Amino acid sequence: MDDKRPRRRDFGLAALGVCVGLLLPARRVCADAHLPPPRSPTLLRIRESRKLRVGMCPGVSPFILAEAEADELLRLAGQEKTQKRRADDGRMVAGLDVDLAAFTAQGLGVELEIALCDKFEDLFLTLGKDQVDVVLSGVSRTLARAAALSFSAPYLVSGQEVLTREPARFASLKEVNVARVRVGVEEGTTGESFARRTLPLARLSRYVRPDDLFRALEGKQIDIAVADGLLGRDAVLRHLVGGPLSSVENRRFTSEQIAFATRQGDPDFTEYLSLVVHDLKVSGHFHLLAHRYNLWLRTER
Amino acid sequence: MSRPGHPEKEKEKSPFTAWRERLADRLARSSRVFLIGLLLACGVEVVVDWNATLKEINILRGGMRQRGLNYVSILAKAAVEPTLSYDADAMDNLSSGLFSDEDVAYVRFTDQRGTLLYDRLRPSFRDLLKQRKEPPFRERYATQMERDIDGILTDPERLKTHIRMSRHRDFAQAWNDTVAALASRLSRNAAQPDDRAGPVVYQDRLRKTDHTHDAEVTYALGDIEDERNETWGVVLVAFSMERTNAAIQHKLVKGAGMLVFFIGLILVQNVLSRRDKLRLLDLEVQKRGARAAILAALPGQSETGAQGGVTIAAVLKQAEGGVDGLLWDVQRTADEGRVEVLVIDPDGEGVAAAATALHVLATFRQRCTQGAQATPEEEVRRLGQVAASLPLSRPVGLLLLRIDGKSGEIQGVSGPIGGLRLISEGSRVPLAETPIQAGPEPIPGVMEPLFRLAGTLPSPGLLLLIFAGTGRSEDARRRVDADAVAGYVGRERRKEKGSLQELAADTAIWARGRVAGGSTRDVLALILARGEGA
Repeated sequence: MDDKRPRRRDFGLAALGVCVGLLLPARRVCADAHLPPPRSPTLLRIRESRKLRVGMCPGVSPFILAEAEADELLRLAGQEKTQKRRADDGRMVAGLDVDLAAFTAQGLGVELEIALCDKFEDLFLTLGKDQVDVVLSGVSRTLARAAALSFSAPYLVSGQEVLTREPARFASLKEVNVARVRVGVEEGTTGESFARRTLPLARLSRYVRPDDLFRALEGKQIDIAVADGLLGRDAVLRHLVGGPLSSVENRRFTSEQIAFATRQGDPDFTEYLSLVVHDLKVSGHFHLLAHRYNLWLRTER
Repeated sequence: MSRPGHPEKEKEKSPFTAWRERLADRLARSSRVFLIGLLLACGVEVVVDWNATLKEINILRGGMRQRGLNYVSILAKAAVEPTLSYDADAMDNLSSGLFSDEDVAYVRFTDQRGTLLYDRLRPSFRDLLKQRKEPPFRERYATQMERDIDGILTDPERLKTHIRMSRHRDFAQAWNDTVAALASRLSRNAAQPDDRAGPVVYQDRLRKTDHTHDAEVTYALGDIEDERNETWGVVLVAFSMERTNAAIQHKLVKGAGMLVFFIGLILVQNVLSRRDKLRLLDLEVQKRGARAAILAALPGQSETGAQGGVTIAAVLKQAEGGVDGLLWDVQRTADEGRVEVLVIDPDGEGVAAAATALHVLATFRQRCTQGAQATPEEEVRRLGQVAASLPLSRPVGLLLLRIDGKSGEIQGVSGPIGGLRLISEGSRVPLAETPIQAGPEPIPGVMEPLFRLAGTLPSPGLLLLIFAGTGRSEDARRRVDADAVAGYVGRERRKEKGSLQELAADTAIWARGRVAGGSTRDVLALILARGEGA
């Protein structure tokens, strides 16, 4: 007799939840019914297709990882129960940007479609070809990119750090910028631009993937790795390096704002995404999402 | 009836007064009481001095506490957006200003679950710990910081109570806690310091690995709350107490120095004053002994009273607290036809003066017993020599009268002491005085000038001899208004109330009231009578 009462109560609550869940969109639909149709071509298309297409390049931790790397990301974050999402090519993906994309799609009331692109430099082309509506992959806003793309308000700030396993040898940037020092960078990134600009005397080596960069550092093929601080932290967490990494001068050398990237010509859509970022932050949702990846996003000086 | 020649019977002291005086004397002499008093004085000094020192230490620590609370309050308000945005750069900007304060060692921002968002450690402090071969800061204080961050997120009041009740505290903190607890019991309005800090907590009860109080680091922490009072995280600012501890050390050394100085001063002052006090007490005993010896040496009833036609009544009121040494004697010849009255008033005061007077008296009595025949002047010179023979003695004032009981003839020699009056039928006249020519040398041991006295004691009539102790060398006659005293005696005598002895007693009391500094001088009233009333 006593067992049945809790069950009836649970059932009642579940039924109530379903009703509320059904009613809320209805309310939203009812509310939307009073709004005029969007003038933004992207938003109109999204509404008509009932899909938000997001372009992502897996392999940037903690933003977007796929398959085994996604599993490892969630394991390290202690978020094994967090739902992974299926990309359009069938791969399971997870990460901060995946969560942000899901939140954005939910806000629009549409389905999320993730289009993966394995080369970072090809990611923006998918945007240009109208294959995706927005790109999310830990993309930083730069002047060069802004000449061709639009960016929302930033949702995260990071920056390039000069990382080493020998803090006593490299107390400042001056000790790094000498001919005998071997500096590694990820090709095509802001890290490479920074290294070329500020460390002209050092010997530069380019790597396709961040993992290769840090393995080279661990293998002493290079003395210094110029990379985003988040990548450095990821390398330590995933034991790509055998011990802690020190940041030369204990600081970031650049400040890079990470944001949603969109096509130019649709400022309304970009503005909408900026509002999404703002809403995420003031409501505390971003804080809660970011908490999952605290191990990467924290800073210890 | 009072004993002739002795002061009138003093009022009996009440048993309580006597007991009190005995107790006071015993306490004054008791070394145990002295030691207890000394310990109490030192104890009070220690408490007062250390209280002042601890107060100064509190001010130093209070300043650090206030700084911590202020920094955290300001940071917490400014850190809302950076916390929501996981903006490390903004947190870096916020904390960089703090590090201009040399005492700030570490800043930490966490989210609402206590998970670290951002922290920053002063490099010099990190190096200091490394130099001392101590664990790194984050490792050393990890447990305590996490505990306190969790505490402030879940139950700040409980955290404050926990800090207040912590056993990891030094003496100064324990003292303050005790005083604060007492104050809160006495006054309900006395607020605990933490209560005024609001949602910010100051932690100064950290422990080391060996569970002793860690005085090197303190920190303040507070909630990061948005305008809806929703908590999004915690900010913690830690301080290195190195400079503060150095200042505290300085205060302690200074306090200890002052304490040692004042304790030493108390000890020295008390020991010296006790020595003086004991000396005074011993002196008091000696004085009492001297006064008693003088009383014992005075003539008994067999020598006074009515004998041989001359009645002698005398009352000596001794000085209060001092020893003046004034005494008198009467000798009667074998056939009781002649009476010799000797009054000795040593110059100065004290036990030595009394000893001189007693010695002169003893010599006089011995000479009388031996039947020595000498004129009053010769007798006075001899007695003076006796006084002068005592080492370090001062001269004595002497009066020697010989009275013929049958004829009433008076002959005598007097030094500059007292006053004499013949009183009869309303008249009062002094005895005839003839100065004795002073020799080329002063008479040893005798106060000069000397006078030959001559007269006749009428019958009926009285001879009044009134003396106030000489004290210092000065003409004592000027200090006794013999005419006034004689007037009093005459008036009282006419009333015919009481005996001659009672009259003498009243006269002594009355005369004391007329003498400057009367209570500090011996007063002797001698009345000789012939005929009616004798």
